[in-house]
Amino acid sequence: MHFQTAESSSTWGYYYLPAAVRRSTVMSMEDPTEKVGRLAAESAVVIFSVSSCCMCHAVKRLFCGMGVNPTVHELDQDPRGPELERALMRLVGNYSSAAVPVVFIGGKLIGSMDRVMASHINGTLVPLLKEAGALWL
Amino acid sequence: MFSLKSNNVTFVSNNLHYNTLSSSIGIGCATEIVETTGPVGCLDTGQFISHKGTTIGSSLGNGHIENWGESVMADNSQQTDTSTDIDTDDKNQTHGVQHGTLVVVDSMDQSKAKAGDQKVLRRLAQNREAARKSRLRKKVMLPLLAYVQQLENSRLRLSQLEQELQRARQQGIFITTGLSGDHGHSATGNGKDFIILLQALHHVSNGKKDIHSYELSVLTATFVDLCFKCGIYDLDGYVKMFRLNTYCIKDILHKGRVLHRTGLNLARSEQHKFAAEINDVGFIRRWLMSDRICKYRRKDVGEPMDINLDNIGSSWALAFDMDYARWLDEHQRLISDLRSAVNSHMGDNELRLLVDGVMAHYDELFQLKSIGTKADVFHMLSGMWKTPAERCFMWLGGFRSSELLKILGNHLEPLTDQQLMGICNLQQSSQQAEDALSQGMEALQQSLVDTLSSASLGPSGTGNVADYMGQMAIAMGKLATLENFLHQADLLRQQTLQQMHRILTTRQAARALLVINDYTSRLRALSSLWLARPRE
Repeated sequence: MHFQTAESSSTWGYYYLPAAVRRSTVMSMEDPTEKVGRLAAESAVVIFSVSSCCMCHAVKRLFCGMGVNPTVHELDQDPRGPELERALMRLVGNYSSAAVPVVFIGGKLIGSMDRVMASHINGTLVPLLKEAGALWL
Repeated sequence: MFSLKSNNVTFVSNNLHYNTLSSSIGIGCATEIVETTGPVGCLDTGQFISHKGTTIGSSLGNGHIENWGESVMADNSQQTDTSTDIDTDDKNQTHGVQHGTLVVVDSMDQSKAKAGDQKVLRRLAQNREAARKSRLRKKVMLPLLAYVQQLENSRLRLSQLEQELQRARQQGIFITTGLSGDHGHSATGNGKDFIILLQALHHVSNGKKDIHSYELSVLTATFVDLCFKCGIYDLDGYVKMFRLNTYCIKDILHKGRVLHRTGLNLARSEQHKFAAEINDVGFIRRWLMSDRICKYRRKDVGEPMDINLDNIGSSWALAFDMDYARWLDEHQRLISDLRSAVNSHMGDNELRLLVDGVMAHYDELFQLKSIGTKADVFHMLSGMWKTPAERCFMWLGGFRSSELLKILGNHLEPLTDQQLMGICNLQQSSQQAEDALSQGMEALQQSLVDTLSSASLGPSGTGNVADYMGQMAIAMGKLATLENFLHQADLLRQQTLQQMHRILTTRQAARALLVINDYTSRLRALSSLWLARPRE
């Protein structure tokens, strides 16, 4: 893996670095896309948002209104925010407007606000939520 | 022309006086003459008036007065342009001295006055009538000329607007496709500057060009300044760029570049930090005063800038209104076809074609609205393209899906259980989506209020230009989110309609479309009735 080769190639330098830097080096080795995937799989409903974005607020209200409790990752409070945003943009395929909000249900990508609403109107969102265990009624 | 006018004006007051002093013609005449002499002094054609005056006063005999009356009547029968003829006509008549006239009148015999009483009364009434008509006509003629001039100007302006519309359409295509870099389409000089600047910012935020944060903020500040000078509607690309920019700046900040800190407060949130960074750059002010900006400012004076300034937005609004009206006509035609089909119990297959046609036509409307939203979001939001009653029930630039479903409620019977559940779910989910969007909009409004009311308002405001620009830039970015909300609302509406179409059978769908159309027609009729209601 990417992480491992880096470690083996710079073994000397690695051991001489102070602990904090070592930790951050380890963390920054992770590919942003992978990090997104990892975060998305951690909960039933995951929303990537920005605290100041109003559309993200709308998505959060939508889920809360349905009785779902989503896990929200605020990218502007994450030191790796910009990278994650770019990764999200690539995932969603949306380069022209904002990267957020992006919703994952049960680890699967649903998409941006328009896709979420479309699936809600379609009637496919609620079954997905029930399947992921976010909704019981 | 003017002489007649003032004469008529005096006649008005004469009229009043005459009514109050109806007992004695002599005195009435005297008053008239006195009034007539009043304005004479101020006019070049005063002599003419005095002629008239003397004509009245000096002769209570029928002949002269009739002459004079006729001359006034003749005046009315002719075009006002020929007033000069009347001038010359009357000049041939008596040419007494004003004051002499007074004397003549005062010395008149009361009994003689009574003899010609009736006739004079009649004559004077006729004259007043004639004079009033003439005055009214003057009131029309002069403004008419001004109006014709205005029409000419308006026609010119209209052709300018049409040109601008063409240009804006081209530019609109460029801007809405994003910063694709094909700047060949730009039609105006402003467009080219924008593009160069946009490209620079684009390169920077893509990380293609390593740029110091100062330069970045200067670039952005220049952009904002240029945008303000050029007017608001070129900013679609800007705000898209701005969003990318904020994160680029944060990136740079996180990499630990050193910024000069002046005594200004640095706000905690990201956006304020960004604005503060613009503040920090002290030479922004110098930049603003510099020649490059002045070059942009000089463009303010030129012709293309003027047209761009206030009217690109309303050109789009106009275009949308026209397109919408056309859509409405087409819609009515399709609906009436559908109605006759339903009433004639047409077969399902043909009916399905018609229903699909109406649904496709609705898709065209949403397409129109999306273009309109990108072009002029406030016009779409204001709903000025709808009738007043429709506007009252409007939500985020259109109808409320949940309301529509409520209206359809009883009209769709008989429904199978599955259909009933589908419709109920649809109503519930559209209600939830609407609520979410409404709450998002409220949050947007609140954040906009916060932005505009932050820091430098009131007496403490030092008039820091860069600070102001920074706040404005943030507010602009927030306004861009408005487009997104409208877009989502339209998508919601479209999807609700499509889902409804999916749940219902062809015949039910046809009935539903007719019901919807009837409802909106009634709303429109209500608007017309209300606007035409008799007011006391």
